[in-house]
Amino acid sequence: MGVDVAIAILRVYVWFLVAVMGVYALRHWGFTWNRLAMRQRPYYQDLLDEDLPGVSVVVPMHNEETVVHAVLDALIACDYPRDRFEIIPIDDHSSDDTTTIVGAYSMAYPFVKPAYVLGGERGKPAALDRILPLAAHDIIIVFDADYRPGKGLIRELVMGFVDPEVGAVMGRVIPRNTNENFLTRMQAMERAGGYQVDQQARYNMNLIPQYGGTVGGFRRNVAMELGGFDPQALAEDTDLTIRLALAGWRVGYANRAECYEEAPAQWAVRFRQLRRWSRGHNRALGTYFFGMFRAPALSWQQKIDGVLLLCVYLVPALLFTGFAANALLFFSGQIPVVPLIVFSFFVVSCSAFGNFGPAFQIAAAELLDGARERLLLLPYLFVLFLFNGWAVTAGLMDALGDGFKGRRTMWDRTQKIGTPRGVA
Amino acid sequence: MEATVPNQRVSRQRGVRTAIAPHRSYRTISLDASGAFLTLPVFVIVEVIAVVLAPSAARAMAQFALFSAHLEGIVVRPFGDRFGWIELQPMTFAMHHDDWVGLSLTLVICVLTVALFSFWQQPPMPLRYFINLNALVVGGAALYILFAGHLGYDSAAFSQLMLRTAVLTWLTMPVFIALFAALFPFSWWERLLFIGITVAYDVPLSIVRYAAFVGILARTGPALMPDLYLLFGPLLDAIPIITFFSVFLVRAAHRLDRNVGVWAWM
Repeated sequence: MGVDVAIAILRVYVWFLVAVMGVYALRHWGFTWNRLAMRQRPYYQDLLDEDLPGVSVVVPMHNEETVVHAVLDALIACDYPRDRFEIIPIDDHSSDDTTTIVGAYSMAYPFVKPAYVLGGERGKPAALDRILPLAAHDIIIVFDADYRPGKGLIRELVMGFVDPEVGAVMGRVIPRNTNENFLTRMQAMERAGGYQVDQQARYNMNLIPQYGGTVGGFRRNVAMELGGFDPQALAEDTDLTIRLALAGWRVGYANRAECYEEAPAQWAVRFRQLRRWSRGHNRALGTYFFGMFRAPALSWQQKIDGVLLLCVYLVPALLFTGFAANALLFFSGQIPVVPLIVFSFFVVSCSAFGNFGPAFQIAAAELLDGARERLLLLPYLFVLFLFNGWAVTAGLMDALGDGFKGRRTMWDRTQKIGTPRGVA
Repeated sequence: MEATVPNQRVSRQRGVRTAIAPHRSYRTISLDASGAFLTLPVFVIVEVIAVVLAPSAARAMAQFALFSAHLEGIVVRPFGDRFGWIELQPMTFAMHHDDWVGLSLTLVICVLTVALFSFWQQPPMPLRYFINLNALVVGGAALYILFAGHLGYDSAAFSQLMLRTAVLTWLTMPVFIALFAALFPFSWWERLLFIGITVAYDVPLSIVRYAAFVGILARTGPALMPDLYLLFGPLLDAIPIITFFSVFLVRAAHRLDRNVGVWAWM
């Protein structure tokens, strides 16, 4: 009797998972259709004669001696009016030459105003939280240290703030080391699907595009009014996106504002990065899940999108439990065939599901990008399923552990290789 | 502003190229719903063909497995199984059965494999995880057999499951492929070929795989059964969908590149 009940529960659970996967698949199918075929919503960068507001460009750094030159050189070369512009490299507990390099830049360029965080907590959210009150301008644009902003990028991003309803803006991230190895190629594809299709479609559909913590910006006063940054948050970007949405602010997405990053080229580095994202994102899920339903400022479409966005790092763990349920059902001779087939198709075709998007979404992005040779790599996305899934599940476990044990989190910086100065 | 193909032709005749391909961030494809709706009749055609040919394909699957089992000297006994409108021909086959020593040994090997690939960092992580997942499923099955005495499927039930899964896969697959195809600028015959070829490819895959599974299980025993079914069953069927999809997409991408007028500004 007990075994029969357990089997019935497992079968219902497998069907439930198929329904969850179906909802996500439909969501992403809709995004892809919207991006390929529907009228697109332009960003604000064509408003070139608008009076530009003052902007503080913040670059959090921790032991970034290999990449600091590149990002600062790129920012210095940007075309934003110097009288309305400052660069704040935040030297966050660095023990290498970052401090010296940043100091040298500040001597040479008066608008480079470094901030040194020597005590207290380490990590991007903590550093941002401490620096916000010191910034000279209300518009804050953030770059990670391994990014290479183009000449007009700041101007393009900032234009979004001419809309008084926009609380944050986000640009597009593209790996610059795409051809380094298999892993970086796969990340480039995931990134393309996530930005070229997913973010743009959410922007088109007036849903909730995500502020991604870099190549983006926000209004300082709004962020401070909403409580600043929680030093314990590992996904301060998701945290801010959801808080802005709940408070009725919009996030603008600038697909044209492209910026190049260094994608992790080693599996272990990528694993840690995904794990940290998942940990932070799932903490945000725990914090904001119910609030999302109650938010009066959001339409029902935005609420649904917000909930699905919050749950996105839960999906790989659900898939693993679904696999375990199928294995148990097989052991007992009770496997339901149709859900297993559907489940398997989802696993293969939507293997990048947990983070960025299913195969057809990535295909659409590569098609729009004109990267046709890379389309042949689509089947290999399946290789990432176990890897992504396990990294994201490990992050979920961490988040659960944090919640139950009241554990304090430690910011884990993604290791960067960089390139010597003068080598583009 | 949307460039049109006739305008482009006139421009070319005058030696002027007015249709400038937009930057990738501004691109959309001049898709309309008719392309997506075109997928529906194509899907119906393939689905009807699948329904009509499924009995023959299932028969071929059973016959090939019987043939290869005879070649390998495996004792088999076919029996009839009515599945909807299809008369399947599953079979019982002689399967190696481990005693508790053999099962314990399997379990130990699986545990050691998991330990090895958890600590040995040299192979790429996806490969290590894939090997570990296989070891976990095989070890789990060995443990289950050790305690429960047998799995829920014997050779006859497994054979029946494989045949039914194959038939259901052939019938389910076009739905997924059609959803993929509906999104992209394929011509009607590309849609037909994409959906048709993927299903057609899956038939020989199912036939060969079923015979291989029978051969493997006859020699190794039921502890491998869940692993074969869960990781090399329907999961493997789904991979050709993406593979053929990518090949057809490259074709579509070439066409889009050649015809700048197809790109629409946002």
